[in-house]
Amino acid sequence: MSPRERFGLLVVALGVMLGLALIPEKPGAGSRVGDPGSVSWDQVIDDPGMTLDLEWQGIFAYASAKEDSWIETMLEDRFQLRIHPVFLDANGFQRRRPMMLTGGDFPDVMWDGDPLGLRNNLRNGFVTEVPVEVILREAPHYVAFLNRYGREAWLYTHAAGRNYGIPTFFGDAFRPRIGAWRADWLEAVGIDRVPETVAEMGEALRRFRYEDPNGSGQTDTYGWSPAFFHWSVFGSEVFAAFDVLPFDFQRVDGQVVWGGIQPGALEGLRVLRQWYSDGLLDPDFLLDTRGKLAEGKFISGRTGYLYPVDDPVAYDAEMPGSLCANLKSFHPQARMVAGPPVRNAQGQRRGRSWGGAGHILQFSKPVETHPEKVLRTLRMLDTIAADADLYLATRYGRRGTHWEHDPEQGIIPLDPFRGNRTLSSREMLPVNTFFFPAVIPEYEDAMAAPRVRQWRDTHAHPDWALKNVLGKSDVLPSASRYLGDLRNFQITAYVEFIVGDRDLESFDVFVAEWRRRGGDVLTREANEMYATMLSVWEQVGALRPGEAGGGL
Amino acid sequence: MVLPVMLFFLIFNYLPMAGLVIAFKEYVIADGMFGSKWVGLDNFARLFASEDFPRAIRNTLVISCLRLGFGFFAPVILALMLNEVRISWYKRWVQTLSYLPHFFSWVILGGIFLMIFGTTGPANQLLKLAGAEPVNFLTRDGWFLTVLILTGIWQSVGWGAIIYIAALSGINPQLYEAATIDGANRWQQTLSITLPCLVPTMITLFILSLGQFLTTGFDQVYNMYNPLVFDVADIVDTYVLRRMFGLELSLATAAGLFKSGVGLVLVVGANALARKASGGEQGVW
Repeated sequence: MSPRERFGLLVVALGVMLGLALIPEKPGAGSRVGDPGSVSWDQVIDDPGMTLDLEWQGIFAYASAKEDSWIETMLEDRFQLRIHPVFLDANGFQRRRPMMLTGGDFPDVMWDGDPLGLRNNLRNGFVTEVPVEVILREAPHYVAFLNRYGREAWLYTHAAGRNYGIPTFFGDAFRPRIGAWRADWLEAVGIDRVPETVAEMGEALRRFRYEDPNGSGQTDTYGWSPAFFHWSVFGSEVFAAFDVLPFDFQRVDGQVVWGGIQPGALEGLRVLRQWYSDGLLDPDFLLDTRGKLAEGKFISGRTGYLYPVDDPVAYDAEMPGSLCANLKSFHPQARMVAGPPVRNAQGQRRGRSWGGAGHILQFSKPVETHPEKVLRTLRMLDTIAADADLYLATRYGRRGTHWEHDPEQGIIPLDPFRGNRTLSSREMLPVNTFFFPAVIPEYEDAMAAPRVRQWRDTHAHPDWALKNVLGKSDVLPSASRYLGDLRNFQITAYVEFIVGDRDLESFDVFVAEWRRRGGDVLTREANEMYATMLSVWEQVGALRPGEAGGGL
Repeated sequence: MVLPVMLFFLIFNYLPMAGLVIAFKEYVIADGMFGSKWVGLDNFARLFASEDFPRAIRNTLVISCLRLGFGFFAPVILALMLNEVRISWYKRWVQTLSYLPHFFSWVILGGIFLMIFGTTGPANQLLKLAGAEPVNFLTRDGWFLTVLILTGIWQSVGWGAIIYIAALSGINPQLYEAATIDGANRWQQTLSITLPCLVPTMITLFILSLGQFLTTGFDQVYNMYNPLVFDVADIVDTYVLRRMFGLELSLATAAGLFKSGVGLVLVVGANALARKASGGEQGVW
């Protein structure tokens, strides 16, 4: 290429860049957090007789489901809707949905699990405001349950003084998460009760490792393969015994603080480090970045403790595909027992809980041209919340066809749906939180088997729960900037403390580094957000007796 | 005949480059690529002010250098060795077996290597048999990089050797015949004929590989790393992925553009060096 050609090419390239730069911008372009939207909600009228199309991207738990399930059709008939469901699995939600949205494919209703997701969408300008007053007016029954079980979720949809979507709640998620023990191993090593304290837990793990619980004559077992594929389960049963949630904000002495830098976190790390050093933890737990290995090790008989295992069905050896059934398929003599949270220094059981606050249903920006879709959705949610039979039909399908109730056994799926997930997905979406993303304990308990209710209260009583004071830390304005990187930094540092790469004496260095990397900013915002939360609760009628709205 | 090819490159390779403009904007999806606010170099400033991006750059450079230093010559050596094999069925089998890993996804290979190099995996079982202490291959920085580079070479060496095998087959046999008459043994023939004849191919591939210098094998790293080696394994691509998931598309594009810019400088620089060193005879252009 001659010098003249090179010069020409450079001029063309610079010209293209300049041309792109000079294309005029829209006035007011930039982040859309705080955008009030264009809807005059007082003037919106929803004609119940008019059929509305609603593209619905619900929770990502039903990827194999098909359109026109019984539940969908039932809701369409009842609420004059044509629902077009968008089914994604977790991977599709994380990877495909951003591409959908970037390409301008906006479902009317978009489920998001984390407030951060809403804030990312909001920053990119494709979420519409749904004023709190509209939700209070259109869905009073729904709001009553939301305020009772998951009032922190009001913060999930709150940004820059406005509300962007419908908060959801899971009335059964306020219980602490629990772990499972191999009951036959406990017996084999001479332990006659499920560990009650961290010390007892450590002793059980030690015997699992060194006292040949499987009778093989070899030291081929470990106590535990800690799960750390997600920050929320990273050693949380140990940290909770020191009253700490290491990856959450907690309220201590009137201040909102990050649990992971509190003295209790250091104590939890000291225990885990000792267990690792003593060889009680499977050293390959570090490789379990997808969360699949720990369960595999438990089922294969390499470890004797697994966390978290909350679902009573997991302990049912008769239920095909349950954890216990899988365990027994390898070890017919195996038995499982639930381990309630171990006790803290005051003798109280403590375990991490997500709390009852659920997720977010957002409405995309194009819905502003059909705001009646928001009102219809709110009416649907409110009607379901107010009607136990409709709630059950929305969650489990048609009584007599898909399920039946037995006073002793609770809700029983009927043939051919029992144990057939594929068929169930196609026909009715089992255990459905897709269209009604909330769980109402009053209705569930009325149908649950007495032994299941008792099991839950015995092993995971709500009074034992420790939860994030803000529900989720992602609600903070600077969360997208700092929180993800800080979590990664903390997980790496914690692992280094546990395996001995970092001296526990340098915990203060870690704390200073955490604060410098944005932790101080988040903590300041968390305290401000706590005050905001009380104000929002006052606005929506969620304050409890003795609580003052509007400030700390 | 040239028009469809030019159109293909224009539509699929050059026009999408206009999207790079969002690296200089506060990109808001609702405002579109051209409607978003121009922020100049703010995204780059934010990248380099963060804790993670400079570390990701450093890690990417380290892994790339190791990959280039150890991985570039591996296909040459394999091709030379295969060239010396006289049993044709054996040669074909080795070639096929060495290509095979190229077709496996790192999702699968990652799982296999996690099992092999785990503390109780076959690698440590062998060490145990030899009376050695177990090694945490995947959770120690140095060992992790070693495993990463070696498994990467294993996966790509057969495929990379194809071009060299083709180049070897193009060497004039008369050169070897003349050398044999002059009394050169196989080793001398390799040093004096085979290697010099491969140099132009090696230079071309070296320059082309510099364009991908900072593309350090995202699939492999993503499927093999863990928090304990995050300090050496978090690379630009994993950083970009995290930003993409958070819909921070301007930041992700700025990171990607920086990476491409470095690649461009390296390619142009290496080509200029090759031309200068060879008196204008070598080089891609």
